[in-house]
This record gives sequence, C-alpha cells and structure tokens, in this order.
Amino acid sequence: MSDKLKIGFYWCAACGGCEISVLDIDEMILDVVELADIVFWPCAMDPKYEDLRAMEDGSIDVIFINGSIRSTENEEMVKLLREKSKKVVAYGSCSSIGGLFGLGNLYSKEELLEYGYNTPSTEEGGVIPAENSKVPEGELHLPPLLHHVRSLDEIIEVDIYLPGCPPLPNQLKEGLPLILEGKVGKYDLVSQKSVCDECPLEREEKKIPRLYPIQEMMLDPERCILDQGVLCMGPATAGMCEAPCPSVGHPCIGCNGPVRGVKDQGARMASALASVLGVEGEERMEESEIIDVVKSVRDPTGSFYRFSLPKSYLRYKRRDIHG
Amino acid sequence: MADFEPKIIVFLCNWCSYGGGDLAGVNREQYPSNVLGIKVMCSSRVSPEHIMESFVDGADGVLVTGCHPGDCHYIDGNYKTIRKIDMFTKILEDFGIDPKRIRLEWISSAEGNKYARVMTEMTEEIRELGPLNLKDEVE
Amino acid sequence: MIHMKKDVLIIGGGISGVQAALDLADKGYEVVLVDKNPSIGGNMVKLDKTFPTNDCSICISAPKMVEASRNENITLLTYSKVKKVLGSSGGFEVKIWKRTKYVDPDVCTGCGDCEQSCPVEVPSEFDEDISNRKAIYVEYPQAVPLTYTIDYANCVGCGACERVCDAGAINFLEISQEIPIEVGSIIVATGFEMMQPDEWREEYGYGKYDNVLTAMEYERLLSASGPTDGKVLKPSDGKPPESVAWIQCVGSRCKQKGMPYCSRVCCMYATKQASISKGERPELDTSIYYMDLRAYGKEFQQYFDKAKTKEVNYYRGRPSRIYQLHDGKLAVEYEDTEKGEVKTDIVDMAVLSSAIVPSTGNAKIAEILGIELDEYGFFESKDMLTAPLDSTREGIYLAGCAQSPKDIPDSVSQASGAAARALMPLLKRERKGRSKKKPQRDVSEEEPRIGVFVCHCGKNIANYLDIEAVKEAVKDIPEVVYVDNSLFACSEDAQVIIKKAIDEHKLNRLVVSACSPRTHAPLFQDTMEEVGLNKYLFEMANIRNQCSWVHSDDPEKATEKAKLLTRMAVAKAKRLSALTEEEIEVGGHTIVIGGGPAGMQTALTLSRTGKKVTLVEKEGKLGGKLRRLNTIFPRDIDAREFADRMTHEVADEKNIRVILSAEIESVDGYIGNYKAKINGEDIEADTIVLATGFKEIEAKGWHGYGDDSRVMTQLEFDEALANNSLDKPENVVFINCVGALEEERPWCCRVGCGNSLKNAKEVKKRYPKANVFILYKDMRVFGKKEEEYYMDVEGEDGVVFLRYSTGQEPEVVKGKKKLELKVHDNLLDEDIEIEADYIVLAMQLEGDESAGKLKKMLKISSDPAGFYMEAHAKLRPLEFPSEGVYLAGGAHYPKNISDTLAQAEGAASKALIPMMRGYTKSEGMISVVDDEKCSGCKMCISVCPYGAIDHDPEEGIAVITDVLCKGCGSCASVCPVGAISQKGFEDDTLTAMIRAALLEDEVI
Ligand code: SF4
Ligand code: SF4
Ligand code: SF4
Ligand code: FES
Repeated sequence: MSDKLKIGFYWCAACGGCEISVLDIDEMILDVVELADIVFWPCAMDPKYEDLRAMEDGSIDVIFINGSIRSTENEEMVKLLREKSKKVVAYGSCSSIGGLFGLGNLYSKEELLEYGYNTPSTEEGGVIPAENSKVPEGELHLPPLLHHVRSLDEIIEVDIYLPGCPPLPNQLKEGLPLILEGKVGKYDLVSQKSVCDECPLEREEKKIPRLYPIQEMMLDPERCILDQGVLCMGPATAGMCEAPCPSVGHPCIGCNGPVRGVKDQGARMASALASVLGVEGEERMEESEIIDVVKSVRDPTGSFYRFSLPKSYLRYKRRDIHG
Repeated sequence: MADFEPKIIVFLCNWCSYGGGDLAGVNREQYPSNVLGIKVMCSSRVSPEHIMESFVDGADGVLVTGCHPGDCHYIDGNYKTIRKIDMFTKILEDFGIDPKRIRLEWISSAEGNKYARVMTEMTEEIRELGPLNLKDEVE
Repeated sequence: MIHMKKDVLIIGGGISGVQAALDLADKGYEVVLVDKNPSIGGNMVKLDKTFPTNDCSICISAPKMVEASRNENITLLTYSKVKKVLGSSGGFEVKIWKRTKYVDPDVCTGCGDCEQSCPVEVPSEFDEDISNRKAIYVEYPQAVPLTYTIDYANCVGCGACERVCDAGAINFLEISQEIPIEVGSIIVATGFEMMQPDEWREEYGYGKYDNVLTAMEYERLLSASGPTDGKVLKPSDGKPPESVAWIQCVGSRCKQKGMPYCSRVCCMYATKQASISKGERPELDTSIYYMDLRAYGKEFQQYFDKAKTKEVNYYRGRPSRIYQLHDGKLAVEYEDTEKGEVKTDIVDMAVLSSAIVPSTGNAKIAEILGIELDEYGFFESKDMLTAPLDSTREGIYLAGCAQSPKDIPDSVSQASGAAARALMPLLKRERKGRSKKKPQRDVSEEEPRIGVFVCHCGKNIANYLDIEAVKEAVKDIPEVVYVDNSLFACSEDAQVIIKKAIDEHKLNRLVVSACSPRTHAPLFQDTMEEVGLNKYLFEMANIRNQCSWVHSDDPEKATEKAKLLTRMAVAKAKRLSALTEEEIEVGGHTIVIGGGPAGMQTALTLSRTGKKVTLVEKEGKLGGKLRRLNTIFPRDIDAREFADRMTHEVADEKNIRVILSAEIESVDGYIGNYKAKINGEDIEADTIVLATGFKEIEAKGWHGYGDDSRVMTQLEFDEALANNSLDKPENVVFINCVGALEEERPWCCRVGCGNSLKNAKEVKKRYPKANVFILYKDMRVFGKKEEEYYMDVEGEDGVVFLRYSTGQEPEVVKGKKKLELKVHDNLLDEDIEIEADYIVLAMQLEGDESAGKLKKMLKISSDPAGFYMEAHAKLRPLEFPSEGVYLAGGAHYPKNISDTLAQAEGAASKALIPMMRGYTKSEGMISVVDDEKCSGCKMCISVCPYGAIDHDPEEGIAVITDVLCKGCGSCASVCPVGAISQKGFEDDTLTAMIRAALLEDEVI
C-alpha cells in the first residue's frame, strides 16, 4: 500500500446525516483521497467485525466516529476502534456532545421502548424487541440499549472534536486538511464564539419582555429573533456554522453545542435568558410576578439541552424524586 | 436516614446574607455544621453551573442566599437571581432531582436568627430526603 | 490625642452626620465626627425597615457607618460631647469632652467575652428598654466602632470583665479627657428624639397599660435583631396580638397637647409597621387612626395603596382616649370623621406615633455654638426657605432632623447640602491628596506560596475546635508553604509575625482563618500592603462567626467544618491575582441641565468652589417654575423676585456659562469624559447634574378645563395673580389632587396642597370678601411651618375646606353667569353646590418630557411618572447608579423650594467629590470581557445595573468601562459563552472552592 494516511469512518447511533455530510464537500473529496486511503467505512464498504479485529493496533491513522453511544454494540465498536486508531475524531454533535438522541436521557430506556413500541402514536400493543429471540432462521441477538445515551468521550478518549449536526461543508473544508495534517488540537475546531458572532441579524441590548412560540409571531427577518421574543439558542451555541438558520429567519436550535470552554450549554442559556427576561418594572413586582415570565419559556430543558444533554453536568435523568 | 449527614453548599452574598451569618455568630445561634458557605459579591453572580458543579461533586443540597428584593447592594441583582433559580429549578426537576435540594432564601444582615433557622431547616429537609449520590449512581 | 487640626466638626453621628462627614472626607477634608453615644448610627440603625421600599434599615446603613469609620479623613469621637466653641467661621476652636470607655478600642477585638461575664443587667437604651444589656456593652451587634464600653454609672467594679478579657483591653485607669480641636466650619446634625407620650398624652395610657407602646418600641419588636427576634409580642403576656391599632399625630399637629407641627414621617412608618406586621401574620387585624394620611413622597402613595390592599384598615379620626378593659384588651375611642360616628374599637395592642421632637441637648449646643433655635427647639435656619442649611451664624450649618423633622432621603440630601455649605469657609485650605501607595512586589510570575494563619481568637475559636487539626488539614497542600496559629491574629504583635513570615517564606498569598472578613479583612490587607503585597492576594476563612460560635455544642463537627472552610480559602487563594484599582482623571466642568432653582443653585455652588459650569435651559430665560409662580409657600415671598435674584447671582459668576433655548442633541461618555452636543456645539464635561424639573399633566378634560377660561391650572392661576389679571371674584374654588391619587397616576404631587393654601390666602388678602373653597383629599402639608400656615388659613373667615374622594370627582358645569360646581363632601356626607368665578386645578405633576431622551443617553432610568430613578431611594437620593450623573430638585420628585435648594446643594456636593479629588477609582474586583470569546450577543448589556457595559460596534463585542463597574458579577453569570469573568470570583475560582469543600481527597 501507499504511504498515504489511512482513515476510516464509523457510525454509532446516528441518523446518517453525518455520513452524507462527508460527501457534501464536493470536489474536495478528491483532495482527501489524494491525501488518504479510506480503510474502513461500513456505510460504504460493508466490512465485518472480524475484518476490524484483524487489523493491527494503531493501523488506522484517523478514525472519524459519528453518532451517539446508545447500545452495547456502539460501545464495543468504539473501544475496538480506539485500539486500532492513532487519532479519534468525534465527528458531529452526537459523538461530540451526545446529540439530539441525548434527549432520550430524560427517560429511562424502558420508558423509551414502551413509548416506541407500545403507544397509540407508534404501534399500540406492539412488541418490544427482546435481546434474544428465536426466528425461523435461528437465534437472533440484538445488542441491548445502554442505561443512557453517552457522548463518545465517555467511553474512549477523543483526540479532536468536530461538532455540528452535521458538520457543514465550510467546517470540513477548513477542518479536514488540518486534521489530516495533524495540525489541530483537541478543541481547535470548536468555536470560542457563539452563533451570534456570525449572525447577520440586527440586534439590540437584550431586554426581552417574554417569549412567544414561533408560530405566534410574524418575525421581522432583519431583526434578531431573540429580541423579538422567540427563543434562539444562538447566544449559547458554538458558531462555526456561519449562522445559516437565523440568516434565513429560523432560530438557532443549538446543534453545535456549547462554545469551547463552556461545560454546560443549557445552564448557560438558562442563566442568560433568565437574566434578561421580563426585567421591565421588576422592582415594582412581587416575587411571584417576577417568576411569572419564566413560564413563557416552554420546555426549557428540552430547548436548552436539545443537542448537548449527555455531555452536560447532569447527563441523564436521576431517580431522586420519589413518589 | 437519621445518621446521614448531608453536605450543603451555601452561596452567600457579601452584603446581606454573609452579614446575617456573622450576626448569627455574634448571637451564638446554633445550627447544624453541614453547611459550607461560599461568598460572592451578589447573589446574581451564582450561575446554574455552580449549582450543578456542587451537585455532581457530592453536595446533597444547594442554598442560594441574597438580600431581600429591593435591598440588593447592586440594585437589581437579586431579581435576576429569582428568575435564574426558578428556571433552573424546573430544569433540575426534569433531570429527576428533587427541587427541594435547591433553595433560594433572602437573609438580611440583621437576620441572624433567620440565618440559623434557614440553615437548620435546610439541613433537616435534606436529611429527610436522603443523600443525592450523583457520584455513585449506576452508570 | 492632643491638639487636633481638622477642617470640619460634625456634631451627631446619625445618618445625616455620617453622610455629611463622608461627603467632606471624600473631597479630602478632615472631619471630626462627635457623637454622645458609644457608637454612631443614631436613630436609623434602630429601625427595622424603611418605607417605601421596605429596605432593611441596618443593612443599608451599616455599610455607610463602616465606611465612615474606615475613612482616613474621618476621626470618630464617640461617647463625647462638645464643651466649648470659640472663634469664628474659618477658625473655630473647639473643646470636646471625651468620656472614658475604660476599654482600649485599639486592643478590644469585639469578641464579647466580657459581656458574658458581667453580672450587671440594665435596660438597653437601644432596644427602648425592652431588653437588657450589661454594664459593659456594645449598643448593637453591628455597632461602629465595634468595641466595648463600660457604662460607669452601672458598673459595680467587680473586675470580672478584666479577668476574662484575653486581649487585655480593659483599663479601669483610663480617664476622660478634654480634646482641643481647630476647625474651619461646623455642621450640626443632632437628630431628633421621640416625644415620650406619657405626660403629654396621658389619655392614651402610655406607661399605664403594658400594651400601649411607642412606635419606636414597636420598631424594635419588628426588628429581626431586636429583643424579640422580630416577633411582635404583647408585653403583658408575651403572646402575639390579634389586633393592633396605630394612633397618629400623638403630640404632633396639636398646639394644646404637644407640638403644632407635623412630624412628617409617622403616617408612613405606621403604614410600614402595619403592612409588615400584616405581611408576616395575615390574620392580624391592623388599624390606623389618622387625621390626614400624608403620603407625600416619592412612591409613598403607592405604598399606602398597597397597604390598603393588604387590608390594613384606615380610620380618619383622632382617638380621644384609650382605656383598658378588664380582660386586658384596649378600647380605642374615636370619631370616624368620614362616617360622622363616635366609635370604640377593641384591640390587643396600641402603638402611638408620637411626635418627633428636638434632641434634648439642642439648647445646650445652641448656647455653646451661639446659634438660635426655633420656637420648638429645632435649630433655626438663616432663612427657612432660601437658606435652609445655614444656621443663624456664619460657618455653622444644619443637617437632618436637627433643623426640622424629615425622612431619611430628605435628611441625607440635606446632609450632602450642608457638606457643600461647610466647605465654603475652607476653600483656601489645602486638602489631603491621594495617599501615596507603597511599591508592590510583582508576584505574577511566581508560583503561589501561601501562608495560612489560624486564629484562636482568645477562647472564641480555640475553645470550640481543634486549631492544630485545622492547621494539619492544609499544611500538606503543595502551595501552602507556611502555617501558623495565633492567639489574636488581629493584634499588633501578630501583624509583626505575619509580616516576618511573608518576608522569610516569600509568601505571595495570605489566608487568615479567623473571624469575619467583613470586619477584619481590611486590617490584614493593610499589613500586607505594608510589606508590598497586593491586598487582593488575601482570603479569609470565617471559622468564628460562621463556625465555632454557631457549632459550639459539637467541637468535632466544628473542627471538620473549620478544616473545610480553610481548605476552601486556600483553594481560592491559590487562584488569586494582584488587582489594581484603575484611576481616571476627572476635571472640573459640569453640565447642569435645567435652569430652574435647582439647576441655578447647583451651578452657583459649583462655581463658588471654582468649578466650571455650563448651565443649560430649554426656555429663553432662567428661573423655571419660579417664573410662573406668584409667591412661594409657606413664606409668601415674591417668586419672580427670588428668581431674578438667583438669575443675577448666576450672571455674576464668571465660572458659569448659561445656554438658553438649548436643545441637547446628544450626550455620550462617562464620568470625566462626557461629550455633549448642545445647540450644535460640542461640549466636553466631567460630570452632569440633571435638574430638569417637573410639569403639570395635560389638564384638558379635567373639570371643564379647556372649555372655559375660568377653569385654570394652579400655575396659570399663580400667573394670573402675579399679573393681577383676575376679575374680582366672589367665589374661588381650588380642587386639589386633579389627576392624582387615582389608578392611572397614583402618586402624590407633594406640592399641590401647599400651593392651594398659599393662593387661597392670597385671594383672601386681595379680595377679603371673597369665599374660598378648597376641595382636597388629604391635606398634605408636612414641612417646616407648613402645618402652622394651614391652621392659619383654616382659621380665616370665608375659607371652606371640603373633602372629596377619588371616584367622586367634583362636577363642573357652565352656569348662566358663573361656573357651577357640585361635590360630595365626605365628612359632612352631603352634596354641596358652589357657584364659582374661578376654579383652580392643582394638577398632578409628572417628570419633564426631556427624561425620555436623556435617560437613554445617560443610561439611567425613570419611573412611570417620568421622574428619574435615583441610585437608592433612601440613602442615595442624589445619585445614579453610575457615577458622574447627579440629580436635583423636581427631576427627582416635586418638592418645595427649601427642599429643592437643599437637594441642589447636595447634588453639587456629590459632583464635587470626584471633581475636587481630580480622579475617580474603579473597584478592584471588576469584571472583564475576553474579546477572543465575546460574540456580541448583547445579553450582558442591560444586565449591568451601572451601565458599565457598552457594545463596541466596530469590533462587535462588549466592553466594560472599568471605572463604572462595581463588581457585582451579574454579567459574568449571564454571558452564555463565558466571555466575562469577575476578578476574584472567576468560574474557575468558584469551582475550585466547591471542589475543595466536597471532594476531600482531590487536589485543590
Ligand atoms: S437571531 Fe439568534 S443567533 Fe442571531 S443574534 Fe439573535 S440570538 Fe444571536
Ligand atoms: S454576553 Fe458575553 S458574548 Fe454576549 S455580548 Fe456580553 S460578553 Fe459578549
Ligand atoms: S460586574 Fe456588575 S457592575 Fe461590573 S460590568 Fe458586570 S454587571 Fe456591571
Ligand atoms: S448584593 Fe445581596 S443579593 Fe445582590
């Protein structure tokens, strides 16, 4: 084989978007191929577990892992990949910060299965898949779900983070060469600045009377969405995406997770928003009136932690409240 | 859970609650030693992240204290605190943590007795709830 | 202490005296503050809360007291009296008699061991005799100075205290002494006393029935640190009352049985006491018996309205007597003047709002100082209206209740004003400049080397916990290079040891594990600075007040906690860095906005101290509202003449530049750096004073105004009087509170009642045959000589007072010849019809319209009435949160001339502080924005209460102006990307402390 770099891609619990995003870089894929050989890519090449096990330790130079860690299979595979790889890149928000699936951590896995297989909105009276089941063809084994969704770095050490849902072409165009050339540190591809930094909308100093559901608002496309009273996660979200959502009038939903150096995106957003919400005339209000406005924030946990829950301080629902 | 000794982190604003704590001392009011105070200049300095940090490091309860509404040395800091703690308590609840583990109290520097009372109440209430044990929960 | 040369003597250490002292000391003048009590604080520190904000009184006043005691330009002489004064303005020779306290204040640590051992108990004056104190005592726990006093009269000389005092502070041989002091001016701030209602008002049974209290006694019951820990209990049986009655005007507003004047604060404090009591125990029945509800100040009426919604009951009528029933309950007999019925209410407790009376020492002081008292015993002003702050002798000035009863904001405004007056005789003197800073060691490159001192505090700590174990707990932390203990870490010899340790062990951080940083940090920080260590490299662990004293029943647990507290302090110390307090230059130019009496007076005072003033007036002439008034209440002096006099004085000052017909296009910047554009011209200034006044609300639509020229506003009527353009009337009707005290505009205009009275008097003077009707809601005349004026007008023939209520507004229709007015008099409960020649509307007042624009430019705020919101309703009425902008006169709230002038002098005094110093300094522990992180989301900007954060449009990021930041840390907790950190309270530091507290095995 050539002395080109050996790289691989792997997906864990994922929607597939990250895989496709790799193709989004258009002709740059040629540069990548120039630099590296893809030696492992289940999505495209259908290798077997055995093939991977057979590889020498450290034989993959860079492995890009996307998706969250949801099942024992994900867990085993990434451990194996860690052994086989020199560098692990947490590719996309799911592997970097837990991702959208992380919201499942607000429920137990039993609740999730029940909801998924046995509710009117899914299939009432459906069968909850068993770990082992007999089918005419023989015995089937399904890898069980872990207790909760985890980010990749809870299982193995990660060398480089590249969040994004999925990472966008601009991020890849900038980041991929650097990764391949070994020129980036662990968090270098996570922006220190938030989406607001790149957002073109006109904003004022924040004093937000209350929040409204987006469907109730005729948004002025020129003005900051949050200023207009619709929740935008831009302020607390790492901005390497060039603010595509607010630019077209859609609030940022926080997919990149927190900026570099911030541990808990949701807590930050809660603190920021609570400080600027309903401040007008607060000095003349009773405490109960002061907190009234907080009710206008619908589902704060779901909204603030939509992508980063498994990597927040608390990570998953605890069983502290009894009865 | 009688033998359980809760650990409680208390954030004290410099101007009122810390003074209340000092006055409780001057008056020799007795209260449980389970509370460990951290001074901040104003209750508004306390971020939800500090509260989470406390919980994951093993605190069984967190108490945020400040000047009574209207009394904040920095004019309106504590109004922000009110909303922050309220919003954050909801979040904690979603995370399955008993909202009683976080508490916001106004203690003025003249309220040594209230200081002692709140510390006692909080300790007893947390003792009642039992340990939070975020560190040890099955993973 | 031998002969002292100082600049100003202030007599009285209540809030007024302290405020005046701070105002002068901050300008570099040296002040001696004399108080007859062992500690300063006066009456304010006794109060539980203050109206209308329900601020905790001690909480807001204690920091001021501490500030005064720490200010190097202020010498406190407590337990002292003025004995003699010779000389004259600019050169007084004063003799002070300083009584011995038998305790060396430099040695006493305030630990209180002595108090526990003292066998003598006497009633505590501070608690109004409700509780006891010892013969060795401090007046209250937060007392300043916090050192003990032996009260000689009650000491039995047993020596118990001396034996237990480990610090050795007690000295029975210390003697009282006379201290001669030279000063240039004197401020009298001797405050007030409350009338003892036993003799004057024996019909209320005070002294006879246990459950009849004075309001001050009740205040102590409410106080959380008072004798009952804030619980209201009946003295008779220690049980909570089910009903409490407040009796207003006990000794006030009554020539025969007390004082003719209004005490000015009782309606509001009774309202406060009732609503607080009610708030605590909603089932409590509270009633207030009043004559007129004088809720005249800013937010007072709203406070009163709120009390009513809390079901505090108000009955209009002065009780004739209170007597006790056989079951111990009290019967309050009164005539409800609104219903015209004589009634008897049964209550458990009665609180007497007894009159504010002059301090007993006033006569003596007046004699010593050679100044005059008024007929009641308050100090007489040179001119009550136009020179309220000057005594009758040059060089001696008046502040606060010494001059007449007043509330706290009026007192502190006056105190600042008196400070401005007091510096006039001193202008030629040299002032103390910036104290030179010792060179500091640069420790930024050094690894942390922490020294830890654990204090025994005599027995106070060591008796309850294991000092060695505390030392043990931190000694192995790698950065801790030195650990020691000390019997009294704050003693002089301990400082020597600390300094030596810093030197020998090259310490660059200091942790003292002892008592409270609130009281002791400055002392250790001074020690550090003496050896060249930055004072911010210091941290304290409070193992006394918040540990040994409160866990004294469990030494083991107390020790555990002390270990953790000390560990946490070390964790913090490790992360501390040297901080500097940035200074910026402040020159001597002020823009005063508004050319009415407030603006003119401010400009005059500033100019007379040599500062440059640009006085900006939107009209074509100076004088403001004075130009539209005929005479001034309650002295009936000619308003225009007075305006002319002031205008001339302004014209004579070469430091004042007047811009008339001015339009302010923009103002930008901050203290020392304001840039304004006025009438197209760019003007730079260092400070700004807002004196934009007030205006009448739109009168159209009220009582036929606009349809008939005989219905006029009060100001128009004043003008008509001044121009003598009235047709000889038979009947003139004044309607007070037009558009006021109602839902849309609930506030009281404060000056309307007085204006109606003086115009009524003028009408009677000019047209003796005319009838005058005054339609009012409550007659709110409260200032000096105002009640008396009211009584005079009321006594005149042909002046009729009719009381109407909100919702039953008088109706006016055009009759054939005259105006016909119908009103329901709620005292007579009758409809009354009047044929009027003129109807005069005392219109509701609101802030000037310029507020809308100016508040944005200056980053300040205004209330719904359009009046500016001062930094603090009680203690900082003349300032805004951000330094550099000040407030005077009607822009704050409508007020009469003497209050306006006093406030204007006060605002000038405030503006002079940075201008006379030449600089202003930022706090050390301020917040900073990391421009690598800031994303310009603008979340933080509105959060800063001081407007310290700006958006830099070029860089697209936030910037914090150092000198404006007060270091609250709100912004640090707001910034969603963590771009802001507060020095000394960084996220990392707080996290480290949390971890040190909870993760005992972890490296901190
Ligand atoms: S729209 Fe969202 S991303 Fe844009 S400035 Fe406003 S908050 Fe920030
Ligand atoms: S909150 Fe933070 S990111 Fe936003 S403007 Fe302020 S400093 Fe910048
Ligand atoms: S610390 Fe407080 S005062 Fe300073 S800039 Fe931040 S919010 Fe303003
Ligand atoms: S200073 Fe106490 S809460 Fe703000």
